Amino acid sequence: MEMSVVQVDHDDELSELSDNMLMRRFQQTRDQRCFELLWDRHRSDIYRRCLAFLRDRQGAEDAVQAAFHNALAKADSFQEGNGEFGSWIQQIARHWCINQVSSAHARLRVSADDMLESLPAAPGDTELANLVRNVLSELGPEQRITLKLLYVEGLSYEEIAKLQGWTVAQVKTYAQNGRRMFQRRWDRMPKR
Amino acid sequence: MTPEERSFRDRFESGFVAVRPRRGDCPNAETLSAYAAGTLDAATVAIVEGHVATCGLCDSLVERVRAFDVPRVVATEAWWKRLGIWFWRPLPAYVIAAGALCVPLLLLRDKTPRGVTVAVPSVVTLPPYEAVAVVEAGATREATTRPGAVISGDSFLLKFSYPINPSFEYAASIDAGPVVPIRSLDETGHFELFCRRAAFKTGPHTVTIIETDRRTRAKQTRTLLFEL
Repeated sequence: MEMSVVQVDHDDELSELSDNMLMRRFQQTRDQRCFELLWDRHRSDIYRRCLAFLRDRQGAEDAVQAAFHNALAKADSFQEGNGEFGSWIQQIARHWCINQVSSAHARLRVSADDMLESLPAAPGDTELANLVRNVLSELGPEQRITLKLLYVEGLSYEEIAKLQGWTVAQVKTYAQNGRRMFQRRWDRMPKR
Repeated sequence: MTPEERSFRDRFESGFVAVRPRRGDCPNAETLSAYAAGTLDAATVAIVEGHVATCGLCDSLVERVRAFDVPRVVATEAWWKRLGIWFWRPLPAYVIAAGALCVPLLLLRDKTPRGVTVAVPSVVTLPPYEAVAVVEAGATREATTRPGAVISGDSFLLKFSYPINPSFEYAASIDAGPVVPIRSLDETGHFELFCRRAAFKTGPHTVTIIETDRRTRAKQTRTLLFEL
C-alpha cells in the first residue's frame, strides 16, 4: 500500500480548482498532481476519522493510505453528480475501517459461539428479552457495549479491551458502572 | 469474580441469554456501511437496528461508525464538562494535590539569598549578612551605582547582574587586578562579591567581567562601574 506523498509545487491554476474539478481533470489527464492536491487537502481529516474509528494510530495511518490507494484505483468510478470528493473518500475509508473491524469481530464471534453453546438454553421468554433490551438501550455507549460483550457475547475483560482499544481497567470500570446502572433502571422499570 | 459480579450474573444471566436467539445473524460489512451511509431502505434499517440493539459486536461497530462521522464529538462538549472529566482522572488529581502541598513548603523555606563569594584579592571572611553594606555595580558599561550608597563597617557586598550563557565561563577582575573565576550559583546571572572596604579608595572603581566561550575559547570583556 505505497503511496507517493512527495510535496511538489502545484501550479496556482491547479490549487484553485475544487476537489471535484481536480478529480475530473485527473480522470481526463491522469495528472498525478491533481491527486496529490486532493491527498494534501483531505488526508488529515480522513486520518482523524479513521483514528476515531480504529482507536489505533498505526491502524489509522494504514487506513488513510488504503483509502487513497483504493480511491486512486477506482478514480474512474467517481461521478461528480453523486456528491463531493470529500464524502466519497470518507465513504471509502469508512468501508475499509468497517471491513477491518468486522474481520476481527468474525474471529471473536466464532470463539464466543463455541463458548455460548455451553450456556443454559435460552428460556424463550420474549418479554424478558425485551426488558433487557430496553434497559440496555438506556445506558451510555461504553457501559451498554461492555455489558453486551460480557453477558451476551460472553467475552472476557481482556478480549473486550483488545477489541475496543481500551485498557482492562477501563473495561472493568465500564462493566461495574454498567451493572450498577442496569440494576437501578431494571428496578425502576414497571414489570408485569 | 467479585460478589457484585456474581450477584448480577445470577440475577440477569437468563435475561441476557434470552436476548441472543432473537437477534438473527450479524449484518455484513457492506450492509453496515450502507446503514451508516443512510442508503438502506426502511425495512432493512429496522432489521439492522433490531439486531444492533442486542449484539455487542455490531453495537460497537456502529458506535465506531458514529465516531468516524463525528470525529470531534468530544470537543463539542461544554468546557466545564471536559474540565470535570479531566479533574476526575487520578494523575491530574495527584499532581494538583502535590502542588497544593508544595505551596506552604515554599513559603516556609529558608529565604537566605544564595549569593556567591569569590576569591578576589579584596575578599574577606564572611561577616554576618545583615552587617554588610551593599554596593551595586551598573548593568551596562556606562552605568554606575546609585549615588548615596552607604558604606559602613570594614566590608561591603558588591552586587551586580550580568546576562550569563551556559556555554561560557566567567571570570572577574577588580580595578585591573588579578583575574579570578566567578560563578553565579543561582544560575540567573546574579553575582555577589564580599570585599574589604580598606582595599578601595573612595571614588569610582571598575569590575571587569571576562567571558570565555568553552568551545572556541574566544574571550570578550565588559566593564561595570561602581562608586564608593
